Amino acid sequence: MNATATPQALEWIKDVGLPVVGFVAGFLTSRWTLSKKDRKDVEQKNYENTTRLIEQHDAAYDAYTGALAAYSAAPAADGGNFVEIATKGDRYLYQLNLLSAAILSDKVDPHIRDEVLLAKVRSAVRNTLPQHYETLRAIADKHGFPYSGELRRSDYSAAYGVVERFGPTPGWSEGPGTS
Amino acid sequence: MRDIGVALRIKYKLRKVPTEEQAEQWAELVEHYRRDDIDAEEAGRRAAADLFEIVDNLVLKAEADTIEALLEQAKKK
Repeated sequence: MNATATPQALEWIKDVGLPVVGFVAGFLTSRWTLSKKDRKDVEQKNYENTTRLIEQHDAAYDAYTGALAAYSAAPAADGGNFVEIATKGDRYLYQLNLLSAAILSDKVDPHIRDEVLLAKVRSAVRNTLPQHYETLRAIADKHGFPYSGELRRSDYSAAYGVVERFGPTPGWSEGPGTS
Repeated sequence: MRDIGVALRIKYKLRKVPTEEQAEQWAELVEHYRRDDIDAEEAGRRAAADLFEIVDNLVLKAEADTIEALLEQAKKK
């Protein structure tokens, strides 16, 4: 306090001000910090979240690559095969965006994120997203399938958000997809 | 022929997919090394290291690489 504070004011601060500040500080501390057990629970929850997301991601990946392989293997690929690629691809990329949203809201295990997930998201944003749409367009044009899909950043804002927040992989700065 | 580029990239963790010409260049260099009695695996690895940029942590990108190869295949059909 400054030198002009009266004795009454000092008394008031001692009697009322300090307890109030103490109460507020204690309240905030309990809200912002977690006990050791709470922290372990959050870590465990994030780990479970992450493994579940990876399972869903892998299932979507299997379906997508399965549809692509089936298209290539079909003696006479038809519109049905094409729709399979389009829908399974959309599902895979949607799952990727969901995974990215979980990363952005810090709901994933940080080690799994750094060692596994970021590489998946980065390479998918850089390569898979543009390649998926480009390929569907090329196949549709070639075989006369109706297709009006196009890559819109707004459809995958979480995935792009992850690349922006965590940066592209060092050494992978060139190429399409991050802007 | 782009398939061999993708395969080379996955096997040797190359930063970029080599073009058809680059892949042929690689094959020639492998032959050259093999004439010096170097075994096939080592010759392939050495030729890749000589011609291309290798990124050691590329193994994590296998998923996108597989999709890329499959998309290329589907596009050609």
